[in-house]
Amino acid sequence: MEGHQAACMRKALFDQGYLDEQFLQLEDLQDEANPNFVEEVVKLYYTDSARFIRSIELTLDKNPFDFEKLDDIMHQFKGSSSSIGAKKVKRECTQFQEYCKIGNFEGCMRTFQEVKQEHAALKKKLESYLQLARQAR
Amino acid sequence: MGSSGFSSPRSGSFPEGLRVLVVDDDLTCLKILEKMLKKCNYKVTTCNLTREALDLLQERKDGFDIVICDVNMPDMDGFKLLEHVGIKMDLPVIMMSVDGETSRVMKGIQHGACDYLLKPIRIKELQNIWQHVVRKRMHEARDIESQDENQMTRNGKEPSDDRCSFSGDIVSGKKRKTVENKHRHGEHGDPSSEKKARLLWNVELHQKFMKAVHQIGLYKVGPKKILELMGVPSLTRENVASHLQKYRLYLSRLQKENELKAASGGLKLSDIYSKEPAGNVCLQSSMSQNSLTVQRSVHGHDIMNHNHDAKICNANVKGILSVAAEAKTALSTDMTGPALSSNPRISSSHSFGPLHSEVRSAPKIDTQYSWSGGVPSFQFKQEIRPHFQSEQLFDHLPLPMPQLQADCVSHNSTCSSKETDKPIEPNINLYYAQNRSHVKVENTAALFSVQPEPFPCSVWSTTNQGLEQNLYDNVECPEKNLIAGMGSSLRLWDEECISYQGDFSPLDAGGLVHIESVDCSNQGGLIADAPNFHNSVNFECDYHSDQMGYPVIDQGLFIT
Repeated sequence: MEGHQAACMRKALFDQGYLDEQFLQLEDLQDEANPNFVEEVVKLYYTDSARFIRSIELTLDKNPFDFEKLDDIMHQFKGSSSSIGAKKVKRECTQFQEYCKIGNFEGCMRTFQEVKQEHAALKKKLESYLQLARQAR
Repeated sequence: MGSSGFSSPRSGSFPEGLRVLVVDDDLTCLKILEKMLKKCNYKVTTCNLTREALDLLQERKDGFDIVICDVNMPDMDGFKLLEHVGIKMDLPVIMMSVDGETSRVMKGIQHGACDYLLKPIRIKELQNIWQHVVRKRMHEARDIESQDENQMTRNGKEPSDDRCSFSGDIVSGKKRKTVENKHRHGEHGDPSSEKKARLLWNVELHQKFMKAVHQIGLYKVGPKKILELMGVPSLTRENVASHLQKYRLYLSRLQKENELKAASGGLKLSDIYSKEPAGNVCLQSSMSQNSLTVQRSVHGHDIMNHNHDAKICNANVKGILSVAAEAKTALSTDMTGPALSSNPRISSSHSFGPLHSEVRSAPKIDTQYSWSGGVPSFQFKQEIRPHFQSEQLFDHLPLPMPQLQADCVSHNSTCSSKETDKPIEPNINLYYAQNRSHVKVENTAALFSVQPEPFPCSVWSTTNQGLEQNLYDNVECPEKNLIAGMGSSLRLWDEECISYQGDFSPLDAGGLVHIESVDCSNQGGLIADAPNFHNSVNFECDYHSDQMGYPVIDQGLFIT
């Protein structure tokens, strides 16, 4: 049944390191007043983060390379990601910032791909999970 | 909200119903925080722009009990908001950030944050934020009490009784406090007008202040104690508090500068600068920073062209010039000494006018200082008046900052050429020539800034104590000017200044500098390194002006 499936999915997300305890905080906030709180927040995050990703892409295209700006944007993106508990995304963001600090362009490009990948992967998983969870409710 | 908060019944026990203002540009975080705070039974208002937050706070003066703000805000640095709110509005402010680096946290604390939370924030951390509200009220009560003792003329409201009963009376306590403050202000005159009398932190006062601070110990000191030790009847606790804060900011700036210098000869500063907060710190501390800011702003052409800057600058200049005359008398210390000598070139060749405006105008700078441009021209004008002295100084000092001097000179010349369009210039020069003393106003700034010009670093390397002395002694430092200058341009602080009157004048410089740095850092980091500063438009973005921009200001201040 969906409830069980949802629970399994959820557990997997945590076990596989996609989500961390911050996500639990979100779940705790969900109540009768806001029954879809988690879903709303996740949606908001993905809308917002799309902006960050676009912004980074644009900055990566510019010449000369602006590490500082990249670091700045990534900093914000990281903050946002950490607030929903997106563990892997957050980790890649940190890595990206490290490369920015040392001015390693290749490293930045590479890591950015990772960021996007993790970001997209989590999105898919969360969407499936939240859908199941909603149905189970 | 607002006053209704006081009257609305608080069902349940405190801290339920605590009115919180949350400021964060990240919508996801904002939503989460809002929900968390609601779960704590607090009354939440959210904002995603600092400007908006400031407006809200202004509109509903007593509408909030506490503010939570993110450090990285796009329109204005969170630290600036922090200073503005913390000092001017006397509300407890909690900073938040993903970045938990000690230096950042330190910066937050130094700017007056009650607490610094790391993101992601958990609800548990929010449950106890009410403690900051209570603590602040307690301190206020204590301060006011002592203030009462010191100020015979104060109204007789006895804050202690009311204020101390926090349980459920926080609101009323606060209200009373506000009333008290109003009364206090009333004594000195209408806050916006009277306090404005601008308590000039002249040398004697500052000396007393320093003495008191040393006696107590910088880290144990509090405005109340200092006030008592100083024994100046006309001085208010607020005056001292703001002066103290500026002083602390100044010291921390210097310290950082010192560290930076020690570490990498100043290059590190760029790191710091790259991160806003860091930048700010650097900016403040080093003259180079100043110079940088100046540079940025100075680039007359760019800056001058900015409408707003120009307006402000001109306004300021005028204000300054007129004030200059008065300033002369006011100034007691003779800044002229070394500082002047150090910047001989400054005085001689550069047209201060433009610089001044530049500094001010640096569009970015202006906006930056003025709480993200909110206040822009308006504020500047106001502010500048009182400080005209500083401004003049700026004008006078084209750029050179002690360190920068060498560089500045060249810049100065560049700047001066640019300055041609500034009308004030002639005036300023005149003023400058006549009156060194007026730098005094800046003294406080000077006091705070590094004095010796030869090498700011040297100054910085001394201990704080030493610095104090140095500063005090060598008011002339261009940095001081810078500080002073910054102050004037930053008059955004003026809003505060106005209320704090005297305190801010010189302090403003310090404070402003602070702000500048903040902005600068955003821009591109203020480069602490003097030489770099000159050359690099660290602030890049907006100013791309010469370094001269700021250095000049500094110089100007110290021109005395």
